[in-house]
Amino acid sequence: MTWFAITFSALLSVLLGALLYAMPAITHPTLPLGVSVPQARVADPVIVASVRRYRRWILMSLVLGLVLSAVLGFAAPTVGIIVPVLLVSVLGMGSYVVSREAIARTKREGGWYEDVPVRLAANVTAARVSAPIPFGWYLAATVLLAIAAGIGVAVYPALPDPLPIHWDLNGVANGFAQKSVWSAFGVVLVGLGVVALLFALSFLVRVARPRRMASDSPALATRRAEVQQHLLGGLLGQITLITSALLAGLTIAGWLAPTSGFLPIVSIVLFLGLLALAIAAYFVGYRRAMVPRTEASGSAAPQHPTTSAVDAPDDDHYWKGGLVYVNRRDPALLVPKRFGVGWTINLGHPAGVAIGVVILLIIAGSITLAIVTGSRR
Amino acid sequence: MEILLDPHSETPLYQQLRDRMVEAIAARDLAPGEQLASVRQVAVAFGINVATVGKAYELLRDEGFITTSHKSRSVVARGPASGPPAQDFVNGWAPRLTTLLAEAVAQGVPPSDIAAHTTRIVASFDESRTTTAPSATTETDSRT
Repeated sequence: MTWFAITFSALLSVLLGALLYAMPAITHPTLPLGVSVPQARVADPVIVASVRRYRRWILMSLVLGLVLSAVLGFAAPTVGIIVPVLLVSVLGMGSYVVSREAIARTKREGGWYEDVPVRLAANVTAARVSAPIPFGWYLAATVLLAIAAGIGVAVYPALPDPLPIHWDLNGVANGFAQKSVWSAFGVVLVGLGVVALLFALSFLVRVARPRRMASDSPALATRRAEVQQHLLGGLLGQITLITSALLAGLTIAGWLAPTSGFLPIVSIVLFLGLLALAIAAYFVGYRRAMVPRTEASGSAAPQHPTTSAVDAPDDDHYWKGGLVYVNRRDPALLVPKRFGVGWTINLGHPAGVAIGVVILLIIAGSITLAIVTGSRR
Repeated sequence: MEILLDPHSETPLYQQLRDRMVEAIAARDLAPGEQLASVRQVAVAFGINVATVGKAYELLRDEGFITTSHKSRSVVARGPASGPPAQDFVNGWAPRLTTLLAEAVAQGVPPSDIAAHTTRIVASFDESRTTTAPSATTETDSRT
């Protein structure tokens, strides 16, 4: 069924495109498109025009991705699922790199940082912000997987042997395994692993100290950090629940209605829809909590009580392409992302380099594995 | 407790960090017994070398402003209300004050102005606890 490939890749492209389109709305006002600028310049026409251009290009990339989804969906459904999404990400990254360069150039040529007092800011007392851990999402995710396991135990005697464990795009089983506890409950176990992993990750969110920018007053910096930690914790919990629901749903569908091609499609479309909803909640939550600040910077009023008289230093030279952070003198392994949500690795840190290499190896390994197994079929 | 450092200043970062923390102790923004973040945590928060922060903490320790336990937990050790200063401190501080005052006199600042400045600065340490501007002690040049 080519419709599945088309729907899936189109939905994934729209999700990614919308994410990239909305990103400038939740980045720090003095970091438009990841370029550091002084507070007095946040409403500069060049910045407004560059963000507009970036968004226009994201929309064009998305249209191109959707056309490709439709064309490939009929021609080569398997490739069609991944290629449009890859295209939107690559073109999106290109839009970002090209659009931000206009701001960086104007800043350099106009000497935006001349005579602007800059400071590094940090807290020296042991106090740290800490939002409560949203246990509820993880608990609900575990309960869902437990329900799936319970159903599995009940229907296990009636399950066929060999057991279908893989289906093609038309919902026809094309992979079978000898019936055992592992082949029947493997996906549920993977789901529990995912819950444990994301739960552990949610602690990392709390441990990593937010980095403060001197352009924020201490009160605003604290609020921003709290809002980000609270929303990110919630988002991780929601992603955990949605992923468990998908895995539980697919497993139950595999047991109870192994020939239905309809159920897996509904599960996956529902999964993407809920994922979009969770991400949208983050954006809306951030905007709502931070909106007075955004309005003040929009009118370029540095006298606003929540802003400070000094700016953060221009640190563009540590951010290669505005994406990769390389600073040998910075002892931090994880630093807040320049453009996006969460943290990124400092590639100037020895451990950062090691992690980067491992990630590259994993990517290269999975691509090789995909090619090898793909050619075997 | 919020600290601001000027990355472009001629004063080394460790000296700035030490100076700002002494000012915070004088203003009672850092109170005796208050626990400080570890050297590493502060370095990560600023994004500066661990050795830079270590040097500032070492200076503060040598001057008796902070103490560090064997678990390398640093705590503010003294403040305005901790009693009279040690004789060692006065012996070291008096010559530095002499140089500072000599600079002003040599530059033609009238003695009454010097006294007024001194009174105002000492008074500001008492006030700054109520005004919520920790950056008041750092020179913030006004922009156009």
